[in-house]
Parts: sequence; structure tokens; C-alpha cells
Amino acid sequence: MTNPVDQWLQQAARTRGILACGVRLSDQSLRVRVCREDISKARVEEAMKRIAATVGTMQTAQGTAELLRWVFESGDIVCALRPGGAMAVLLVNRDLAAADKIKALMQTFAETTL
Amino acid sequence: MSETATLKPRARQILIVDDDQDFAQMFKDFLVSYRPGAWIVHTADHYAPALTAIKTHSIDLVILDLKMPIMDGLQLLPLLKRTHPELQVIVLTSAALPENRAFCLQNGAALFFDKSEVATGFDRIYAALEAVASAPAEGFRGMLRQVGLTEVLQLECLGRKSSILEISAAGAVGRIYIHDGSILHAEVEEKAGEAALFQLLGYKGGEFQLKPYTKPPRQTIDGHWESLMMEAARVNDEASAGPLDAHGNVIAPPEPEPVAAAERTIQEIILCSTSGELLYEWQAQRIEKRIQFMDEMQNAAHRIGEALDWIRGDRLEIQFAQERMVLLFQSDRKLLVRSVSGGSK
Repeated sequence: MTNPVDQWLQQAARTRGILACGVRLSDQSLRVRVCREDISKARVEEAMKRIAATVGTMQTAQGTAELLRWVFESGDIVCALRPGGAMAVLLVNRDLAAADKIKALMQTFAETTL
Repeated sequence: MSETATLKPRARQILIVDDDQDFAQMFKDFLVSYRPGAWIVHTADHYAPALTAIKTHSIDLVILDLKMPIMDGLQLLPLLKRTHPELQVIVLTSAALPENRAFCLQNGAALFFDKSEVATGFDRIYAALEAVASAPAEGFRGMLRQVGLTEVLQLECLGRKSSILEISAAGAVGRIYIHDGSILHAEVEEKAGEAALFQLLGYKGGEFQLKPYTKPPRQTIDGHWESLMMEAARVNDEASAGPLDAHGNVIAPPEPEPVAAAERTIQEIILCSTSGELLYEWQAQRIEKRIQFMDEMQNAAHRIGEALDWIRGDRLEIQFAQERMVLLFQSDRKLLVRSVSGGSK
């Protein structure tokens, strides 16, 4: 039986406009799925490590964030944070993805049993 | 009227209008010694030599005192902006009262400083002064992406400014007329009023210029700017999410259950240069830490983008439990806007 994290990744990967998705668990392990050939898993993993480091800096400076969105020319990075250090990351083509779908995915992640 | 001959290519000409000639001389000395050769400094002790200097020299920036004999700065400022709308004016006064600040900013002053800040914060004043003097005569020019325009518009409205925001995007040129912080008129292509405003705020890329205010051809908008921008966000969200009919119109979704509007109240704004000098703040808290944070987040955005080979990360939104922070990183400045839901602080 597929575990909840993999189920969430499957659901995210099927969503229109998602280029890649990943989860970083509180033990710092990563699970990543990419949806396009021009985005490598290694790059997404490296980006997630850098996001995790940035989140650490951010929490120290400003307190506990719940949701982050970086806007790049190539797409958006949306990141949901859970207490305990787990986080979900979506790489999004903002022209294709619907905001309510992204929001729903992140809500599902927040309620997923890790 | 005196002049310091520090001629060098691209030196900028600055005019200090102040009846306190000791202060004017001290400020001139600060400027000249801070960056030798960068400025040609003129001084005038009242309005008449000031107007002569503006006629005879290509002045980039005026530093204006308020308390002066015959015609004070509060009278001179509107006159200068009427006769030389392209002229950048910074008010530097010991009469730094809130009503004077509001009047000056409404009447075209780029910035307003208390003279007492010169002794302790000249670095900050200098950075702001250099940024204003470097701005093109027609106003700032910048790239916008989807929501950057909204923040620019918010800044203009919050600062109770008067300007025209000219937007070029999708092969069209549109304008938003802002007077005293209120949006009076918008136009693009065949549209005018709120329809034009919503279309302009829905563009996902393009260029904008902030131009000096002139009266619009007519007034087509009279709502409060915050409500208008929320409505624009709602309309554009629906347009981007909704399916289209055969004519390209968005098919309206079923009417949702009425819900309380998720109004947001802006709590804090900080605008700084890329090197971290404060250019503008409104209700800012822990300014130095905030600017340091903006710097760290810009660097982080660059590192994260680099990992993906993505370029130009120019915006970061952070949602906390009770508040939201938006950081914009542009080529010459950084902006932080903190807001909370509803009217809570």
C-alpha cells in the first residue's frame, strides 16, 4: 500500500501546471517527483536543501512561517511548512496551475499523516 | 548665490535653498567631501536666487528648507513643481511636522527629512538623495511582473501621492491616474474606469513608468483604492481560473456562498536601495533587521533559483499564522510590505 507521502506526491504530480514536487521529512530525508524532462530530480533536491536552509534563517529572523512562494521568471516555488520541520515543495507553472488547486494540495499536505 | 566648482563628467547639479547659510554651507561641505566630484552644489538663501539658479543651471535636485522669509518652502514647492514638473525636490527642514510632511509629499516632494537627521544619519540621507537625483526626469522606470504593479500602486496610494502610472504590456499602453492617493481614472485600449484598471492590474508582464500627475480627461473611478485592488485581484483570479466560452469570455462559475471578505490591512512598508539604504518607510519596525532580512532573502532566492537554473527571482511571499509579508526585489530597490487579515494588528 502506498504511504501517505507518496500518495500526496502522486496527487501533486497529476495536477495541471505542476513541474515537480517534493517532500522533506523532519528527519531531513527527501522524496521528489519531477513531471518534466527538462527538470532533473537532482536539481529539485538541491533546491529543496537550499529552501530548507533559507527557512531556518527565516524562522530565526521573523518567526514561524506556514507558506512561502517565490516568484521566478520560469515559474513559482510554493512551499508549505509543518511544525516539526517537514515541508512540501511544488514547482509551478503559474500560467497553467489554478491557485485553488495549489492551495488544496498544500492543505492536504498539512493534514497528511507523516 | 555661490557655487562649488567640482566639475567632473556626469557630476549632478544640486541646489540647496535655505536661508540658514551656515547650514547650507555645512550640507554642501558634507556633499562635496562625501563623494568628491559627484556634485556641483549651488546655494540660494531665498526663492528669487533659487528661481534664477533653476533657470540658468541644469539642476537635477533641489534641497528645500521650509522656513524662509517672503516665500517659504511650502509656497515655493508647489510653484517649482508647476513650473518645473520634472524637477526632483527633497525637503530638509527643522519644521518636520506631520502636516508639513503630508503637504510636501502631496505636492510633489520626493522625500521629506528632518534636519536633525543630518548630523546622525547623513549616510541614509545621502543614499536617498543620490537615488532621487539618479531617477530619470519622467519618473522611475521598471519592469513589472504580474503583481509588482499592485505594490507600486499601493505605495502611491499609501503615500497619498499624485502621479500617472503608465503601463505598457501586451501591445497596449494604459494609464492609471492617482491624485492625493486616490485612483481617479484608468484607461487602456477602448476601456476606461474600473474595467481598464482591472485589465491593467491583470497583466502578467510589461513595463511601467511613474509620471508626474496631470489631470485625467475625466474621472471614471471613485472607490477606495484598497477595495478596488481587492476587486481587481478577485476579477483577475476568476478570469485566470475560469473556462472560456466560444467568444473567449469567461464562463461565470456558480454563485458561491457569501463569505466574509478577506480584507487585508497593510501594517508596514520598507523601501530600500539594493545596497540597503532606506529610501522610504511607513510604520516600519526594526528597520535595520528588516533590511538585513530582505538582503538575506534576496540572496537566498538567487541561490534557490540557481539550483534549478531559474533566473530572476523577484518576489517572495511569506504567510505566517497571523500576517503576511511580501518582498519584492527589483534591479535598483527592494520592497517589504507586511499586512494582516482584517483590521487586527
